[in-house]
Amino acid sequence: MSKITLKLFASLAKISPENIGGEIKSVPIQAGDTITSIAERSNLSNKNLHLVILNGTYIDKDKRASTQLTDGDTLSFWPPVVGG
Amino acid sequence: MSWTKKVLRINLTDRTSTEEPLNMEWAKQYLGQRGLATRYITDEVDPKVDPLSPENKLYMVTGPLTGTMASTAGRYSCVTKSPLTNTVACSNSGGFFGNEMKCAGWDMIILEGKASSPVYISIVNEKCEILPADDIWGKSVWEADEWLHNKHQDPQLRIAAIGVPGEKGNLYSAIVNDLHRAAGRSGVGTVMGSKNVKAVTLRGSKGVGNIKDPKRFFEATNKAKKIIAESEMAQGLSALGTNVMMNHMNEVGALPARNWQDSTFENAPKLSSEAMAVPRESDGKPNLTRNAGCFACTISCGRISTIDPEHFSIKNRDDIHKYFKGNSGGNEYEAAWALGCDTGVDDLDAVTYANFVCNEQALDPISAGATIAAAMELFELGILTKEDTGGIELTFGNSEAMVECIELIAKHEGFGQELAQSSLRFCEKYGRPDLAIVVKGQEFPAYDARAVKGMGLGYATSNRGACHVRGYTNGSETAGVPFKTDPLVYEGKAELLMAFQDTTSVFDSAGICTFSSFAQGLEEVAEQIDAACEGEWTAERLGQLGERVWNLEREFNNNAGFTVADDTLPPRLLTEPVKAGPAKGHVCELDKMLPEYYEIRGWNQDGTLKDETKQRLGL
Repeated sequence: MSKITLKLFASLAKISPENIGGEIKSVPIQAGDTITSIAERSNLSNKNLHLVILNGTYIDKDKRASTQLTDGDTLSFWPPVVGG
Repeated sequence: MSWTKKVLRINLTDRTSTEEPLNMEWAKQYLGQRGLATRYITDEVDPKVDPLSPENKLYMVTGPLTGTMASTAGRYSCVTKSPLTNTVACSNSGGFFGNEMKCAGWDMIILEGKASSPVYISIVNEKCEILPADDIWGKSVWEADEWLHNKHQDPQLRIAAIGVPGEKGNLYSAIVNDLHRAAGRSGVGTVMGSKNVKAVTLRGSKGVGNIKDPKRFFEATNKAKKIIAESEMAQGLSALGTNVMMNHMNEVGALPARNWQDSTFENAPKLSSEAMAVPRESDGKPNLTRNAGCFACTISCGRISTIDPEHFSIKNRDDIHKYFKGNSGGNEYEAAWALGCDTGVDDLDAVTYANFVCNEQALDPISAGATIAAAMELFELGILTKEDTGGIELTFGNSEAMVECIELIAKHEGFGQELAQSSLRFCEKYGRPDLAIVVKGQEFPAYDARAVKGMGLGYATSNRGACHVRGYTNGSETAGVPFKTDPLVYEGKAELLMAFQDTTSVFDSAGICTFSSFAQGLEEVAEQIDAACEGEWTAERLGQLGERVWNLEREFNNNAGFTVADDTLPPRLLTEPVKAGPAKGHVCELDKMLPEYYEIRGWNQDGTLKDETKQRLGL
């Protein structure tokens, strides 16, 4: 079965000792799965997905529904974060 | 209106104070706070002045919105010529000191000259006294704060003070108000100490009225508050604080570590906001106690934390202030990074302790941590030895060594006196100025300019030396606020940076927090200022005002002797590629951005202002 690594950060992650660097999940994918379909299946509101990074590359909002995932991808979701 | 239109000028040499009217022509051009005091210092102080001489002045200044019901309107700034950078400096603080100044009836307090012996300034509405500070000279901010509250028998007294380092000439001394809010950068506390001033205490009972159109102001501030409160950025800051950036910057490969030898830190999660929220084994409590807000803040990004009672820094110690075993402010992202990642230390409690020391003794934690980091690299290279450090094994990641260094800096004793001279002077002494990660003598904050190009241009051109809050292009480049740009490209960064720099100048001059700019824009700010202040204020007018402030600061620095050669980055960022992560192989090619930046700024390629630029901006 194909799988991706899904990383959730900040308020999207459950805070626990294991998740201080983000919540990391192994998520099975099916043929044709996209960033948007994985987000929906993970019960993540699109509103909170401010930053989406696939294998280190930022993916624009308008490309998320058409960006297909493949086995071994790392997909990171961030809510809006700022600071300094 | 909204300004009190009154300035309190205090001559420390002859121990007199006088009330004078605010220069309203300047207020209309520069608004308040950062802009307005920069206009005053340009008029009153020779740009080539020795920053620690009596001829330098310290301006403690509010903006027209400070103390009003506008969201985040608790800000004040300290403007002076910096002893760390020799540029004009403006350090901004929250808490409750700024609004108290306004409530006492003052837009600005000017400290000039030098007292012949230690003093503190007591201001209660119109009454100003210059009083002996012998009992608190040599004491920490926290000790001075307690003594002053007891002496004046007023729990609502607002106090801004320096610690021992500021008295002794440490070049990155801050001015701390309300125990743990700081005008932190560029050594503004050093200037206060050079004038023999320990503290300024404020009590105001006048309130802040004088609003041009109260009904419209009420509507405008309510509208802005709603925008801020409903923004996801503000909600995120409230929940996780600024240190939410720790994991983020690490993930995007732009978190400098070990004096910028690395651009990611393998143990960054241990120092993160998330780690601060996890209960520890010893007492079942998390490091983070609660969040905290400054005056009138809708965001409340501040953190209040505790140190693990079993941690070596506080366990079995009777020689430390009681607050170390209770609560203090932090960790903010910059402090956690400088005292942690930059020194290679992954011990959250050691970092929290060191940050508390910076609160207690009014030190800039960025410069303090970065200077220790530079010393660690010198030690690992064998250039600095245990003979130099007084026996400290100053290796990266050694939390005991980091704690020992911060304590020595705080006491201004032994090896701490050398570290007090800042990383540039320290590294110069040991023949390796290239290892000082500074611009114009000021240490870098926590964003790797090789991996976030706009930040590199921002550091190089910042008017107070390396700084992230002069033009936070990182918001756009890695965080996508207000829109996403690619952090690894150079194209468009000059324009992006200029927009950030000018907009930030407006927020810093208005009396409100620059963090509110993550949610509200110049349109909302203009509506509030237009309802509060005389004259007509539009976003366009404010935008040009911000540009004017930036150019006036630049002009001051040019007249102080700075040239285009100073608009650069340390060799490490220009020539040593990032080792791993999304920016692997990248350096910061400043020459791909700087000429365009000068051009769109309306400057000559030698960094001076063109005559038409001066004319356009009324300089």
